[in-house]
Amino acid sequence: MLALMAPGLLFFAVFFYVPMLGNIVAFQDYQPFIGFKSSPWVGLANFQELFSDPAFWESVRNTLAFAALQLIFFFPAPLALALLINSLVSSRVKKFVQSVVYLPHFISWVLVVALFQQVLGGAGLISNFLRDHGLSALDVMTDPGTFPMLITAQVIWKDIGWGMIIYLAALANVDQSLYESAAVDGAGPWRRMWHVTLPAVRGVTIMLLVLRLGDVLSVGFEQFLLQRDAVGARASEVLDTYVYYHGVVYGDWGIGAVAGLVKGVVGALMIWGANRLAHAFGEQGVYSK
Amino acid sequence: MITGVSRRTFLGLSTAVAAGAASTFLTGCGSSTAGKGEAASAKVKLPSYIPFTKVKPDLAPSSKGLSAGFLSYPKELVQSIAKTPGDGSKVTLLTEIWTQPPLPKGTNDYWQKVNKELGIDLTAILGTDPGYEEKFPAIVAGGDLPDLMWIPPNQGLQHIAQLLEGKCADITEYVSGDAVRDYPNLAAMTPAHWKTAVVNGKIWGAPSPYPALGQVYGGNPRIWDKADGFSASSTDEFFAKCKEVTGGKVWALEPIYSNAVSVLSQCYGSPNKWAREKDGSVTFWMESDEYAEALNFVRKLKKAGVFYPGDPKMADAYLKMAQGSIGAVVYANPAGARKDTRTNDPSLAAEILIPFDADGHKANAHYHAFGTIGYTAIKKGSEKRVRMLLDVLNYLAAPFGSKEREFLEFGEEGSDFTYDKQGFPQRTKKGKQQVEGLFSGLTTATTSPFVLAPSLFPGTHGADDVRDIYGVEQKLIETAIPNAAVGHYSDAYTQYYGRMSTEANDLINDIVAGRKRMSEWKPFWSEWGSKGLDQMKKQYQKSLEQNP
Repeated sequence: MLALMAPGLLFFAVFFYVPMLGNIVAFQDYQPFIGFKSSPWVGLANFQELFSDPAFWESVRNTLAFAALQLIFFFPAPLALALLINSLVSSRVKKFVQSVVYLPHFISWVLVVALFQQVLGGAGLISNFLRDHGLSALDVMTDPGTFPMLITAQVIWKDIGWGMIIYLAALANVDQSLYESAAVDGAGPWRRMWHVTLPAVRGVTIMLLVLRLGDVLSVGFEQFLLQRDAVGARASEVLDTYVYYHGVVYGDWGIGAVAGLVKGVVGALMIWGANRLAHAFGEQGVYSK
Repeated sequence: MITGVSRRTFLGLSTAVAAGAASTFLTGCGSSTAGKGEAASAKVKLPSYIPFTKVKPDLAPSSKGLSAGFLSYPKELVQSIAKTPGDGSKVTLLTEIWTQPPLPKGTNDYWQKVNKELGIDLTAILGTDPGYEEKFPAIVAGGDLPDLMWIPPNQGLQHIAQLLEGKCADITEYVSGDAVRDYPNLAAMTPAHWKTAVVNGKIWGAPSPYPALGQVYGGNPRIWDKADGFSASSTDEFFAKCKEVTGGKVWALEPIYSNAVSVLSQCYGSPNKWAREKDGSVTFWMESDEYAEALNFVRKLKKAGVFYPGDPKMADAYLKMAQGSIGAVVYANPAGARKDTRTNDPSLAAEILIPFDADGHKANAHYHAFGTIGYTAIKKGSEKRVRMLLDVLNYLAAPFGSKEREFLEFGEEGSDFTYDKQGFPQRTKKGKQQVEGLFSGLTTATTSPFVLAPSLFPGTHGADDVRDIYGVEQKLIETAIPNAAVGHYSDAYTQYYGRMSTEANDLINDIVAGRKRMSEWKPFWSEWGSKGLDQMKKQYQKSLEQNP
């Protein structure tokens, strides 16, 4: 048994736990060429610099705003879609719709953004139509005001089908006789959903929510990098792009590592808190007590 | 081909190279080498300049950077290499290609012929754009260093100075001064070319020549005809023309605002990146009033709606220009502009906007570029081995009009290319599959100084294109101003420039798009003074004083 686990353990050790030691960079004026050993130790100077950088707080604010929007609009969307598809009778239609809606998950962000540009951009389909009819063109791809809505819409379009799969699996496990007995007792479709379907997916939903909360500060990377110039850094900088620009582009490895570390600590706290909450509701969460 | 470098790199290049000496940009990690590089780079004796004279161009080059031009293909090709350079050993080359990849070594006849001609067993690691900046460190970190490595100035490679000192051959004594006579094709490089390959006062490789003229607007004449051609004599006229051609599904300019400001700042007489004032101090162009005025002008153009409504990072603006929905696009140099439009549509000849006098300003200027895209360094080894590799590079630098150059660029007559009616070699289908990609990689490593030749421009108007572009270059050269920092060294530059330019670029986008005010521009720069810009200026000044 232990031997069977070894490859998995090794994977986590090599790709997750060993790299965590690299967080030492957060306390150094790190230069890759001279390495961990010779880079000068600077204590908490990187933390001080990070927390006094207004651009960092701007990225925190953006990240939290995008995370909230994703939690409100994106998180329940796959469940809703799963319920809808589950209610379809024809299994052929069901399979077809399922395939179509989860395909966008496999499209890279570069193409997703290009597609949105082609449709919603200033020279895109809708703008050209409006212009042909003497109306003013659409500006949603370059408007920092509507940017949070735009990116949430992009996330939903891209990943709603992918997120739906796990709910569909949970729904497939619901005992059909429960529906029959509920129907016999006179429950209509809404009551059946409320009393049978939703309780069946409650555990999965809460587990996903806990996992999502732990990862809540990862709102995306390429999506923001690609659209940064169109709406400006102020509207689009999130923690991950901040880490990228400061760590990789500017060569401030220490600052980048601190920002990443802060994000990791917040994520761990969120998991812990959300899991406590799940236990309080009598659910298992991601791990039990 | 030289101007085949993709536009993206072109642009990055013109910013990075022009903003500071290429070698300096690369010399990685700030503090650990602080102070050493600046003094040392100033002292090296560059190789003698011995131009190639056996083939006479129809249009003469000038020392200021005007390209040599050929209107016909030389009837008698000359031999530029006396004996096979290689010793039959294995040679690996890390370089970048700007075309489709060639057929792999095993199935590529041309590759075998190159091996035979050069006398080596060549393995080429062909990087692409984008991607080289990831490939290069990965290969270097892997420990198994290639024999020849192309080191570009613009792709953010870090710690090049340490890499060179630790792993590469110092070729100073083999090429410095008259020693370069052993490598006659390399001797045809000018001192400006060689300066690129100097780091810490030593010469590290063969330069990769590139046109010496800088960024220009290339316009689609079909769009600008409506407004009497793509030229202007004042900002008002330019503004009016842009408005005139914009309408329906046509916009005058591509939305890459930072390039628009860069090119139009020439009209206001802004410095070319770094300038040396009369009192010896150094100034940076973005701080100047002239640059700020150009930025304000671009902001007005944006308000007038003449920019294509797209992302300021859009990658296909040049295709949209060929298709007729964008009027003008910024190119790295005039030859590149004409080549690109001919490639997309052989009947389309890009017109070049000559910088005009903005109202009430001093004479317009054109920004001189650098003349190289980096250099190819040689792995440390015995003198014999290093000299053999230099011989190989010397072969690759064979000039236009030599047998070696024809072979490298086109392969073997009959199978890889045929001569067209005007006597120019044209690649056959096989030549395109086998020669084009590999030649692109070889030419990135090193090649002869840039010449305008009809074969550069796809289609049947090659000779006209050479005349046109030569004419444009003549006009641009009249007002061309150099970048004072070229060939000079600043540690602060390598440490802070990446951040400074990213933040400046963000701010330009914000101001032009109306998200921030024009009044935020100057305070941004006074703040950057203490964050590193003052240090860069001081270090350049010191270096310029030591070696004027």
